[in-house]
Amino acid sequence: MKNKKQPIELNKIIIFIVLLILSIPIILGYLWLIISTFAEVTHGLLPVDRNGNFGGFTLENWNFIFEKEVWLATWNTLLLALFMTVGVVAVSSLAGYALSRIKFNGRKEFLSLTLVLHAFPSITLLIAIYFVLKFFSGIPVLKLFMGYNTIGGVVLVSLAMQLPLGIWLMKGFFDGVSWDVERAALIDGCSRFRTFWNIMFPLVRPGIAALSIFSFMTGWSSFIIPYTFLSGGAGHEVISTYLNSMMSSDTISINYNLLAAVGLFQLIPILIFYFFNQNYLMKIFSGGTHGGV
Amino acid sequence: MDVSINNLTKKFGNVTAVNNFSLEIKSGEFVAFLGPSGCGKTTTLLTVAGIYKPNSGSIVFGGKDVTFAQPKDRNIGMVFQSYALYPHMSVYENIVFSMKLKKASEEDKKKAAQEVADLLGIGHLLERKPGELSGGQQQRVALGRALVKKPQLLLFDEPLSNLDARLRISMRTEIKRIQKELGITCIYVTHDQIEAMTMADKVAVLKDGLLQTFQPPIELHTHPCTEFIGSFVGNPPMNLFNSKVVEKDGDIFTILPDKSMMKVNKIVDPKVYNKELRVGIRPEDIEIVDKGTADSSTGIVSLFEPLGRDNLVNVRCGNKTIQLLSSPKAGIEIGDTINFKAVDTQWQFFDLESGKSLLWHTK
Repeated sequence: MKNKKQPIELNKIIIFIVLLILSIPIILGYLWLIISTFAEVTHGLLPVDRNGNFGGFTLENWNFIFEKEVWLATWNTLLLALFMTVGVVAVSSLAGYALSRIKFNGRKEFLSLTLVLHAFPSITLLIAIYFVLKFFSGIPVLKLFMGYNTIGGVVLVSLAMQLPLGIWLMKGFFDGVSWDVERAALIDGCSRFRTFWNIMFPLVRPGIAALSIFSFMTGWSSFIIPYTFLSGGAGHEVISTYLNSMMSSDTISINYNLLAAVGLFQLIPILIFYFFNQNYLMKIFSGGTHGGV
Repeated sequence: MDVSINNLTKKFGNVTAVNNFSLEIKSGEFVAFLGPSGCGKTTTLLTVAGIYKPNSGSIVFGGKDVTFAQPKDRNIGMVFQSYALYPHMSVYENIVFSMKLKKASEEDKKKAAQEVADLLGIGHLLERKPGELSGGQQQRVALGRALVKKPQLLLFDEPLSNLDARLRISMRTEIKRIQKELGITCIYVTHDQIEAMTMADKVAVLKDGLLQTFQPPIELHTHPCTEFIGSFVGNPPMNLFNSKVVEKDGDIFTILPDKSMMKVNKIVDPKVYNKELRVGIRPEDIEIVDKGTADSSTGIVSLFEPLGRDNLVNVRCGNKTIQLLSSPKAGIEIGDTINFKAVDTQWQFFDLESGKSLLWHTK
């Protein structure tokens, strides 16, 4: 037994070393990010003070935390991520349920179309969407929460972009639930909606969890859509666009250490989120049975 | 509760799953739907349950038309092949789920759950999740969930198919016992003729969405009214071959594949004499005789299967193989030449085209 065990251990060590070497660039990147936020200047990975001597540790880069602007951007980012998650989960689970259970004309075409949309790079749609949001801005009440330069408008667009993935994912999870469970619930006295809410919804909970985490993370770190559809300035920024505005300033030279601090600030919730939910997130790729059309 | 199904037709697209199906079930009766896979028996059951809506026809429960009533308004219980327990609820919650929907009190729920748990012997499992139970236990829970509603009609959709052979036999007895004890009207869908024969008071045989017959199980065996029933019911299956009935010296005979003649002691319509028809005889109705006589046949044993109590013997007879049962003591081996003779009252004759029995017509 002992002799047999050794090669396996050795295999594991080799795999570990290979993975470590491959991850070094990423690890170094994060290391730089963290060191930079606490240093006046960095030479490579070396924190130095303004005169180029080793040291120069400072918390001065984190002073932005006391600015109102950054918290406004954080609040907006949170709104974007939350509303997007709620919207994606609600629409995807209902649509996925229908697509999994009901046979209707055009079902197959609809599924194929969503798949095509999923493969479509969202950048190509930006100009067209701009006109749609501009059009919304012309409608009296709607313009307040759905038009151009509103968080609502950005939520709407980001949500739509996320739907193809969500619908397919949820359809896959619903496909995995046996018809008989649903029939049993109907016979036990559930209405259609009650069956969905009390029986089907709990059974696809892993799918819901995976999708919400994925959506939240996408919403939190999205850049292109908020950058295009928010004009910037107070109240019209998310963290990613705030970060961008710091880099594109013409007057002051770019303070990379400050930039790193804001970047890390944006990263923290995602890291925490991922750390606690990585098991669920893995289910996106393994749990749902991606049934055919 | 009496159940009557009238001219029920259910189509899926262009496929007719159930075709003009009519049946009267009396209160307290245990009815089995028997047929091969895809014959429409489960579709019929789900239509009775209200999961499917029929294209035409009606379903009447105790004088009340429920054709288009919702499943929840029919007061039925159903047990599925896949158990279909709610995996996220404990056994107790599974059982009382229907009561919870009716907003029954905690006390009533506990009492009712205890009652069915005692009846089914699952009292010690109430706290567990379905995933922690064996197949047999899960099926008991599913049965408990169906019984707790005190349904007027209990539906079974091949409930024992996923269980192992031993458990199937004990569950068979148990379901039968509970049904008799509670006097519930039952419809039991199965493709297993032994289940249908042992449990049911009456068996409805289906083929391609059409009702073949509806009669007590023993009659099904002795009075098959179509060739399909003759070949489907009974194990080992009935021997069937094309032949004729002829009259000779006032007696009637049928001709075996090897041209030998065997006597028929049955009243057959003289109109079919000398016409090509389907002849059937069950393996257990053929006996081995020591010496060849005028109305016995001779053949060589080609295959031999010990079944325990009997041996199943395949005998080459002309260009056909006839199956018969022999006692293990007879010491028959492959290659032996044996003489055999059919019990002359047990012959079955079927029309070549329609497959209908030429001896009896029951519906």
